[in-house]
Amino acid sequence: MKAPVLLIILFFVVAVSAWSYYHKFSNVQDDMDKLANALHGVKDVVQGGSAISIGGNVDITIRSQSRYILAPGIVLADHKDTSLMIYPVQDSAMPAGKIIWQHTDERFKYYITTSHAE
Amino acid sequence: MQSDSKHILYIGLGIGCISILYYLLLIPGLPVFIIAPVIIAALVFLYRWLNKDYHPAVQNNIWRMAILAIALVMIADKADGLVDKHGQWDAWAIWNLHAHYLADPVYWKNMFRNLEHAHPDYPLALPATIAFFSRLAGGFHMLMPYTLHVLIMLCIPVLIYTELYRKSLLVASLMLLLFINNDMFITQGVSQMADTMLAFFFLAAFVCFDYAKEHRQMIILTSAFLGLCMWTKNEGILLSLVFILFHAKVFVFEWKRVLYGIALPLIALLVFKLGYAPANDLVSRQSAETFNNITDWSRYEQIYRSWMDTINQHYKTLKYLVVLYLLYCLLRRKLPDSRLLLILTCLAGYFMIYIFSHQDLEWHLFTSAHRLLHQLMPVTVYVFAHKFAGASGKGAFQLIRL
Repeated sequence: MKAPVLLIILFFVVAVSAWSYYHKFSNVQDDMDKLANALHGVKDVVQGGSAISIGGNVDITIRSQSRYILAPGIVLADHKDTSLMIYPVQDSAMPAGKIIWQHTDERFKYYITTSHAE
Repeated sequence: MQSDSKHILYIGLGIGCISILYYLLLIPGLPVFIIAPVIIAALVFLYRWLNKDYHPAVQNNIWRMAILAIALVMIADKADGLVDKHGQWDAWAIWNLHAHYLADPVYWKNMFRNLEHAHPDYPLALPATIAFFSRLAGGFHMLMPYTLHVLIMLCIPVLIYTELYRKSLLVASLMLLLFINNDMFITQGVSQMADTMLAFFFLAAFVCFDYAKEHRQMIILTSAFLGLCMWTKNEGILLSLVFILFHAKVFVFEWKRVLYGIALPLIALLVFKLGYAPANDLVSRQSAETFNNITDWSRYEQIYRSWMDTINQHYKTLKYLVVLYLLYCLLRRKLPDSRLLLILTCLAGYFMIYIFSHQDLEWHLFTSAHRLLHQLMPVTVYVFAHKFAGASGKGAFQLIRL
């Protein structure tokens, strides 16, 4: 087998796979996309705490249903002046506030809620 | 070495070269229109150096090409069904997040402020590569990490195949079948995390070292891939150290060639670790309490059970191969293949990391055991397939030819 033929096969399969992936997901808005949209405009990150503000006026809290709390990393358009990690609260209770985003993967369930029930 | 194997190795070296140069040139804040030509020049130099004694390969049987094409299509088709849009959670929260930061020429150091959960101490081979292409394209796009990961995932079976098909097409084809049928390999391959990249670099180091006796230049490539293992994941440091210890005599005797190969990734890693990255939590949180874990036998049992569950679920064929082979060696009273011993030593190293882990052990095993085994799966397949095919082309399966 000539090496270029092998490379043609390899890159052809990669290209078709990428094309298929793009068409499968380009119009799908999954939980992660919704999270990024929900948090668009984050200005303040309270270091080590649980509250951040969205658009400067809504306090939200991140909680995890399980005891394995993981923090989502968020990248936003205006991330240049702040660290973007949103820290989880050290509390595994179900959220009391209004759920503005939730995500369930094969292991865990994640929530972002407002700090207080509305 | 086959010229087609060299092309696959070049893809690995190219990815490593892109990530290292991009990171080192990002530090002084160079614009992308300077970084890109430097990287392209380095890639051209690397290609010429790798193929300086290149001879066109002999035209081969079309079956070899057809088998490979069918296998790659089947793997890609399975990947299409197993992929998540943004990869698994760690891809979103760590690897692609780091890539976003590194694509910003001014504020990339903000990455190191996320100490709690984003693991800014993780090496940058994967995120720096994605960041480079993001800069070239004018922004991050979800296609970039996916395409890169599919390429790396497919390079693994292709590299093993190109190493084997001349020795035994049957063994090479069976090896492809093993990858096609391993959903864990494909799931992890498109998970957009760095484990598959580490597995590829480690496999490449094994392949190159198998030629080191005949071609001493291969020591340079072996060292380069070991350096890239370190530059990809913290576990890669352990894998590389075990590899070097196993072949200490060669590495000391050939220290100049080793230095040529490992220098660049090692410099990038040292600049990153000493200049920017916070301490790794598994290392920095060691204390007398974690040291006492060594006598906590329940931890050994828990780790063993977790590993066996994972192995029985995803790597049953490999488990039986290893056990049967070790029994065979025991009955024949001979030492097992040193490459297999090396892999088992790496596993023992991983085992001890869990013993000393300060993390909740159940959580730690649940989130990482399958990935660590995934890192070592390709080299294990390679070692067995290489043995079955016969190192000199006289293996038992050699008799059956297409």
